[in-house]
Amino acid sequence: MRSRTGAWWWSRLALAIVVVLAVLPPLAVLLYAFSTRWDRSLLPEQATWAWLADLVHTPRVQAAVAQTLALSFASALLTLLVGATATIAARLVSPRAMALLDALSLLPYAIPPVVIAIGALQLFVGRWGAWLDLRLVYVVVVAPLLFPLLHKTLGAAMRQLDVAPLLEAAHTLGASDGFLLRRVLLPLLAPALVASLLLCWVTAAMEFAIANLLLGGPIEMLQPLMNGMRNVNGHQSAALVVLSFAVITAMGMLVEGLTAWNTRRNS
Amino acid sequence: MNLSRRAAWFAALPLMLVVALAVLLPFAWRSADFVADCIRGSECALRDFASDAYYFKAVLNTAWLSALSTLAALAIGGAAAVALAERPSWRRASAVLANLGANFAGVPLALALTLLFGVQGVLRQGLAGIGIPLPLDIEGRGGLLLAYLCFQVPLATLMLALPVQMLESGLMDAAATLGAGPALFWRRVGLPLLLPSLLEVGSLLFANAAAAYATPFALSGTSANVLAVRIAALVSGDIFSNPGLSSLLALLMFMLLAAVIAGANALARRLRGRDA
Repeated sequence: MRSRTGAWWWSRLALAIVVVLAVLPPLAVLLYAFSTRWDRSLLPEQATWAWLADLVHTPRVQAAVAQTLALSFASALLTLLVGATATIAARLVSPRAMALLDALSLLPYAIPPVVIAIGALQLFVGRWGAWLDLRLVYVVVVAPLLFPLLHKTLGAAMRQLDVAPLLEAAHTLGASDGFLLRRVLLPLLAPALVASLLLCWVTAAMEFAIANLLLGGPIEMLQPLMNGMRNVNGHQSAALVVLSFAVITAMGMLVEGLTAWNTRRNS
Repeated sequence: MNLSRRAAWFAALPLMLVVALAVLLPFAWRSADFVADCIRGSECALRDFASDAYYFKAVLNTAWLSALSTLAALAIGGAAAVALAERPSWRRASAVLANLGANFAGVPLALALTLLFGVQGVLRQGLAGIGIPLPLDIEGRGGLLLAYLCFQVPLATLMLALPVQMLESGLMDAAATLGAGPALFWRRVGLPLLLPSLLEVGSLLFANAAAAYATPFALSGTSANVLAVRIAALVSGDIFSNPGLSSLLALLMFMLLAAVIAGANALARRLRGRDA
């Protein structure tokens, strides 16, 4: 029999490559963000909090962070409202509507963000810019990009719940679908809904193409700011990357915790 | 109130409206504009595309960068998923790391790679110090490939972890009991069963690489000759603006990606159907 311990060196090697590719870039940025300089030797010199502290007190950074958090939250909320309604209803009663939603969640892969951004720039800013608020355009344009995340997270949660017997039981007992939805399904799905909202929020906040191409100058977002700062002060840009990934990691752990809790609760 | 099939379509209406307005309308409008220009014969972007090999090169660059990074990611990520299926205790930590790697793209990744391998890069300087010149131009095609691998490989590991895990449980022990070694198991059982998942994951990885804009743009600016950067630069660039050509490239990109995604999914469905 195959020995469990001495199994295949190639799969171990592959895992090591994955870890190096995944860890080396963030590690480099982390070291750079917390060192005074890193250009004279293989190791960074003199640990410092200065870059991070500077960042927190820069008005331009504060404005971009606030702007990004607000706009990406609005986008995530819009996605949750229209997306969750569609996914829950389709999953409950209509396999054909579900097939359409599956196709819609593949659409952002075929029409990528950069194409969406340029199209929106030409039509909503170039043609109709006089009547449309740029922030509103941004919020609506980003939403379809987030839908696949929501659709997948919510779809998995509903599969796990196994809603068909619930629906049948409710009907046998004379409860309406509305009652079932309000009193049973939505409370059960609440953790998954919160998890997808957070996931959408984080993804929207880290989006670059639309933030850079559509919003550009007057409304500065986090990612374009990071890119601009790179040429002025790399350490500070690195500190901003570290800060945002600290928030993302915290949110990711929250999402994972919610999902794990939901699985335990429902099983 | 009871949910009918029709109610489900009504519930999907707001979402369809948002997608139609934000994605389909601008895309269709731009494509129609391009087609109308060509029918009128005045300023057809096809002529610009045909006369300048630079843009065809962008199509080729996008195709090979996406294909190569996808194949490498499937191979490395799939093998890593096998290692994880063997060692359940490593799964959680690896998932966290792979998640970090898959999301560490765009501007942060460009910053990191410039720090490590740029002209003043730490690793480049370090290697030069011991007499080894680094044969990698971080702003060139090799640099782009390395950058794409940094997020594609962890992403592939994440996406393949579950299919490989489901395959591993039991099947491999059964094969071993029957006397099949690992090589025989993977050739005759493992890979054929995994093929539909590999196709589906591969098509999404390909689309992910082809769509990447932030990474090539942050790494080498508008000189990165891939489709995503050209599409943007032809409209937002100050020096050379040609919206028609940008629409044509966007249309080409859509056709390429739609063909890859639809083709891979159809093939995966057929393979699954044959096994079932």
